[in-house]
Amino acid sequence: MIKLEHIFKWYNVGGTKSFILKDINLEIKEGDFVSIMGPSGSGKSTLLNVIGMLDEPDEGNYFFMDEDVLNMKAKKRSQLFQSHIGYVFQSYHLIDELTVYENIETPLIYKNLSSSERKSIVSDLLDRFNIVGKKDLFPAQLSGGQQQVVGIARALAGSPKLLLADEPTGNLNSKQGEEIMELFKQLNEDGVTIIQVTHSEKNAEYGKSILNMLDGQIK
Amino acid sequence: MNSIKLAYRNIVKNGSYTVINVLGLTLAFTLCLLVFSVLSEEKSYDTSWSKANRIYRINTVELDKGIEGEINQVYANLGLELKNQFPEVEAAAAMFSREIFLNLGTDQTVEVRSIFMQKDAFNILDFKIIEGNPNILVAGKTNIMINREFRDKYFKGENVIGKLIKSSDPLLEESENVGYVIVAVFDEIPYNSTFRTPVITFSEVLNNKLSKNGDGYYQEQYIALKPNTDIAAFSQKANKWYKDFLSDSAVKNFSFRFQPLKEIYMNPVSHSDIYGNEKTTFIFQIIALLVLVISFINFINLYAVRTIKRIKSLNLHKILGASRYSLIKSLLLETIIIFLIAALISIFFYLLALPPLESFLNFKLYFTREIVGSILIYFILTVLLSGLIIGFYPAWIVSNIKSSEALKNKLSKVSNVEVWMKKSLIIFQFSVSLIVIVGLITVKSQLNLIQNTPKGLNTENLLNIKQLYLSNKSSTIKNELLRIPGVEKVSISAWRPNIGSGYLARTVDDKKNVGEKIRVSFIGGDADFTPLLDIKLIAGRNLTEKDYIGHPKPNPKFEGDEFLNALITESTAKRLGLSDLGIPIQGLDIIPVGIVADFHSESFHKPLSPTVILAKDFQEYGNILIKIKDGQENVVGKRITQTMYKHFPDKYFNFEWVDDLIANNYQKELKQAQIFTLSAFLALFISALGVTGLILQSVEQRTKEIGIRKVLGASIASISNLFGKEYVLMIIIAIVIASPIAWILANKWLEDFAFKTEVKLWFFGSAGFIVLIVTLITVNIQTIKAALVNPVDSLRDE
Ligand SMILES: Nc1ncnc2c1ncn2[C@@H]1O[C@H](COP(=O)(O)OP(=O)(O)OP(=O)(O)O)[C@@H](O)[C@H]1O
Ligand SMILES: [Mg+2]
Repeated sequence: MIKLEHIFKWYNVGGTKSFILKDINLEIKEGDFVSIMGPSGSGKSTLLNVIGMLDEPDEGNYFFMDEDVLNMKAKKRSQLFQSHIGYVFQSYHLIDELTVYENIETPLIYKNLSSSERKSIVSDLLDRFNIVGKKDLFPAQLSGGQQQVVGIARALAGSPKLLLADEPTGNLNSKQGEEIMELFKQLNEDGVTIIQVTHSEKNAEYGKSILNMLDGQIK
Repeated sequence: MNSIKLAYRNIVKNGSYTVINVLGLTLAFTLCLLVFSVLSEEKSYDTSWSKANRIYRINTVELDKGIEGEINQVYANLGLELKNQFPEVEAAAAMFSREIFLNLGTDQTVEVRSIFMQKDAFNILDFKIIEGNPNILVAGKTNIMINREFRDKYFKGENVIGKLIKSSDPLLEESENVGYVIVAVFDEIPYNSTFRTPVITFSEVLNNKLSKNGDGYYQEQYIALKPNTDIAAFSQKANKWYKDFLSDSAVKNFSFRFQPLKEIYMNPVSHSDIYGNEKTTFIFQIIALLVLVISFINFINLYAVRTIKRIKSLNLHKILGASRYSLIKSLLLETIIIFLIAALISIFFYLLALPPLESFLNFKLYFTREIVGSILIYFILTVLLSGLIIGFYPAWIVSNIKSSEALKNKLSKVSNVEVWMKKSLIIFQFSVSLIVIVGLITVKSQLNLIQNTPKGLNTENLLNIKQLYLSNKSSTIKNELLRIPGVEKVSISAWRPNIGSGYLARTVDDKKNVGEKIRVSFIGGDADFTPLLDIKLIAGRNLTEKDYIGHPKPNPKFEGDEFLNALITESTAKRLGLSDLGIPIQGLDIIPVGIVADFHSESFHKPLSPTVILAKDFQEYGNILIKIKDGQENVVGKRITQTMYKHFPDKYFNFEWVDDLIANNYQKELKQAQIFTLSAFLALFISALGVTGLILQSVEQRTKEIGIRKVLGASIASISNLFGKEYVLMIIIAIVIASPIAWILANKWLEDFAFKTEVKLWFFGSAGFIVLIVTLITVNIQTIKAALVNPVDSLRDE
């Protein structure tokens, strides 16, 4: 499903290149569940962003479902990605001016689903994550953990084939974290490919494989 | 539906920005609507006649060096002669307005504007006759047509055709006041015409042949040309024909210009009573445009500010699957909604402001009211379009920002340009405010100058009874008036201040500049004239009754070669190279016996004209100038009226305060001063709105900084300073930019005056000071508010 070849990413800091990803080669098959671990600043989020095409690498090749992503027209690329990928962000990134309900609904609107279809999907998710009572609140009115839950619900709304999750449990208590991991496992069994970044050994264990990163390289 | 909800939420959430935007746009839109109305009204004048495109007035252009100029009349019957000569001329008629005095029964004399027309006028303009027949002339009386409104007002329910109306023209002898006969009633002439009038008087062609000697009396004349006539070629042909027509000995020092009727309203040449004002309209236009630009700038500035705050969420939409098109659509939708709200409010204000605008302008916006529906439809369409244009570019840019950067909410690359853009836009706003304020100060100080400069004559408490026929009772009346307690002096004269530079004029060769001519104006009154006006004698002696000559006649002309004793003004004496008193001046036919100080016979728009004062005993015709003692102004009026009616029970008297007449000269400038005051407030207000928006933004961005600084012990004042400093710098830059422009414009405006104020340095200084004060107040209101916030609240954010 995903194939990265010699991926480099750098920033110019004071005239010299500061490498964040160094020669990343990676293949992830459909149905995989990969956990990425590594110290802070090692480039985990950056790698995830490259995979999700929120960031472009400076060098290398990237094939997504056998298509050459980096040489694709921007419009086609975003169509390809946004219809197949769900994102969970380290810092939630909910849309401040939308309610919980609307945040979850948004990807469905862009998929041109009818309002009744949207309604049933969103209600389902609200139920599943036990946040029905919060549906009319705005993100600013939620705790960090609650926002994270909404972020995950939103990522799942579009029934993605690939779920990219950057520390999905970072702000949750261990019980909540466990629930989420169980959910991920369930999803994975249902056929969703998952790549998650985590600091927790325990959570990493839920994955079928673990990638360790250090200084922009996969160990 | 969803995007409308979103847009609505955003608009509400950013309440203060929305209010600023809507307020600024509303002001600008309202102003633009009003100005557009004035413009379309003025442009519409005299366009509704069926031959509007081929009607011309014949103007005389004088070519003498020293006295070049254009007047709106030509020698009588020139038009008719052109019609005889050239097949291109379809119709020709004299048409001019004058006041007539209709006696509608006991004690009800009305003064109405009427237009005298020759019969061929029916082939030039369109009239709808609703009663009677103007083609059947009634002999022995002046024939008149009245309009429907006039009929309904004064003759409700009567059969008016054939009705006789007595005339009470103060200028006519009783026996000459033959009266009028109504022969027809016409439907209203469109209001937006220089010919609008309730009454038309007309007659057959007068039998004055066009003189071959290049003289005669002047008349306002119009012609209608056949369709598709080339006016330039025709004008050339007609002028050439006239030169050939004149006898060889005639002076050929003038030519004709055919002025399109449609242009007369805005370029009246000589001031008739219905005319527009190009300069005022122009100032209006510029100001509306500037206010519009300023509020667009505010909008764009605030837009940028608001959207940058939202870049993150916009990008989340993108990540969640929104297409760029749908992002642009939702951003545009917000702009459009704000524009529409502003448009709707401004329509409301506009309709509210129309009546006061009409009374300010002193003319009705008839045409505008007729087409107000389509104006508003076009207005809404224009607003939508401008919303799209204004909103598109930023939406385009914002929707294209890269996701990973946007998620960090950092836009390091854009911000430098952004800051520079914002600053220059604010500087532009400041400059506009400065220019308008300098304009206001200039207009005000010119008005002050007019008010405070000695005019050389004293018009205080001076009442005038406008020129009338006195049937040789002038001495009796004068003596009776003088006997009224409270009346100080009385003089009967052929001239009163502000009627022009004199009651007649003669041209002499300029000895100092060979080839040029000097036009000398003549002012005439009885022996009490100069003392009554306090005109100061510098040399020689004043005129006395002994200087009266012969028996004066109506509209006095010079009698034979007799030389008249006269006073001459100081500057005239200099221009004519007068060496001594008592020596006859050829060409003027006067013997100067005294020199008086210069005085302003006309408004400050005109230079002092060379002037001679004659003394005459005006037995038959004259103005009656009455100087009233201080404090007696309200008491004597009744006695004066009684005296006048005793002698002329049927006459119409036109009482006028000379000071009012003089003040009337500056109506235009007073109005412009009002426009400038209003616009100065508008410009300041709108740029204060802009500053508020930006300050709100920087305060928002720096809430944390303010919090930290406060925790570290900064005072409120020092935090305010932090923000105020950069605005002071911007104002200084604006002063540098605006001053030369303001200087040029102020001087341009002053060009209208022969006597004018200087544009002084302090004009700019005080304009700068005003802008500075307003800005600092604006800045401080916001920053103090921010500085007062408990730091714990601001640091908890995020
Ligand atoms: N715009 C930038 N300019 C320069 N360096 C950057 C920029 N953005 C990120 N970096 C650097 O890239 C490195 C990798 O960042 P990344 O966010 O991928 O780390 P991470 O492994 O996700 O860390 P964490 O576990 O703390 O989330 C960091 O050292 C960071 O300083
Ligand atoms: Mg990270």
